[in-house]
Amino acid sequence: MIDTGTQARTQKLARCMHCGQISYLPDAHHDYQCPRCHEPLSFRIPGSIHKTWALVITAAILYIPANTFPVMTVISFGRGHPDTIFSGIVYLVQAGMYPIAFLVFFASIIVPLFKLIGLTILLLSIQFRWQINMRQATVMYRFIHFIGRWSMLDLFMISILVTLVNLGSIATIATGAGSTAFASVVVLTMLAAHTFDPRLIWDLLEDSPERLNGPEPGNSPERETTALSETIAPND
Amino acid sequence: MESSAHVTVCPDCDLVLARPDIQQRQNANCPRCGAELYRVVDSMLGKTLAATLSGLILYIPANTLPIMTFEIFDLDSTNTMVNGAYQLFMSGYWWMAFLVLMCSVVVPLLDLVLLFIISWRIRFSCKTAFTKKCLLWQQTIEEWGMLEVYMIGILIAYIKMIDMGNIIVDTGLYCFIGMLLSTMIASTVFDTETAFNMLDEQDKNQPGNKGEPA
Repeated sequence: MIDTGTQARTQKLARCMHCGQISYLPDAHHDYQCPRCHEPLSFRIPGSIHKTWALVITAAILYIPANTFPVMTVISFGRGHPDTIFSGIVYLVQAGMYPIAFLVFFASIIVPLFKLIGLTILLLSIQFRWQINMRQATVMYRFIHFIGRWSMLDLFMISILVTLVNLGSIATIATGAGSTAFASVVVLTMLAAHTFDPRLIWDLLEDSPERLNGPEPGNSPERETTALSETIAPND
Repeated sequence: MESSAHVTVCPDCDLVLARPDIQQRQNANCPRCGAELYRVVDSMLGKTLAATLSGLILYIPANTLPIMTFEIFDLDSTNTMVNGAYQLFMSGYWWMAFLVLMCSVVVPLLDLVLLFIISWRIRFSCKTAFTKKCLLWQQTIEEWGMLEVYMIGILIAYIKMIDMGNIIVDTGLYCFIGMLLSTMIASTVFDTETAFNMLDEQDKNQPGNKGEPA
């Protein structure tokens, strides 16, 4: 029988990332295919740490030009006024549009920075086997995954303004080099969140099994069933 | 020790769990990390079909009709979904143009089409092999459809420009909002694992329907 309340990998079980099928993989060095959806199957995303590091470092480098080069230039009556992401927010604050300023500040500055720092913390704590709160780390990962898309806000806004304010010599809005770098930061951090495998956080349990805050390995399945059904909630 | 139907594994923390029977409109969460394990949605296929069909109908006016018009003195310029990306492409920002076009025009359409095809094929018991392919494609692209972010982008552009001239909200925006709501309903109702489980049932009942050997 399969023991509940333990790590699936210790029992050579793997859940397919695509279709959720659970399969038994007897040999860790063999290449498997999911019997249900025929996608490659492994215990963890192969090379997850290395791929995520590569994407995070590239995004961190591009974060500098994304914030120093102008993203948008408003040309009004022949006079150009280039704006970086930050000076655009300062302009909004001066114009008294605080909610919008906050929204843009959150989506364009806080979110990318939070993603880069958060993923770096997760990667370091896995590599150096830090004692972290695993549940909190998983919640942070899920948050990083969820908010990533919202950084596209500034780019969509620019693409709308570029066509909306296209009135020849009176007023034109042009894109700046910073927006290309910023777009790359958004895509790279989204890909990084995608290649990071959150199950690696819980593999740290193998160092200290006493920190497992669920039932101990080999416990009776009944106890786990009750624990699970307690968390059942209506889905809307 | 075969893969068993009575256990499940948490996708986020790899915990082996006994699979509880949950009722309609409920979802099961992992007791250790809180991840959603699976859920049961009543009449998932019907709801997805209805939502994707209305989304597809609204997609056409949302992308062809103007979203907003900006007027200053006697000059005006309009914005549609596609011409923002076109303008960026013409000024040499092809990478940005590509991203904006993908996330706001191409992927939302593919997402609606794939969800429609998937629900249709499961509902009418078509060959499962191609449906599985569609499910995998849908899962890959889903994350890159960003209609709700684009909606907030429209809102911010509107508020930014409101003092500078006259802004007219056009029919395209109403169609866009309708399409956004349909897409959100479809993606909330639809669950990939439930779809795969339905396909398993069909494979079991009609072994000849499989299309390709396992």
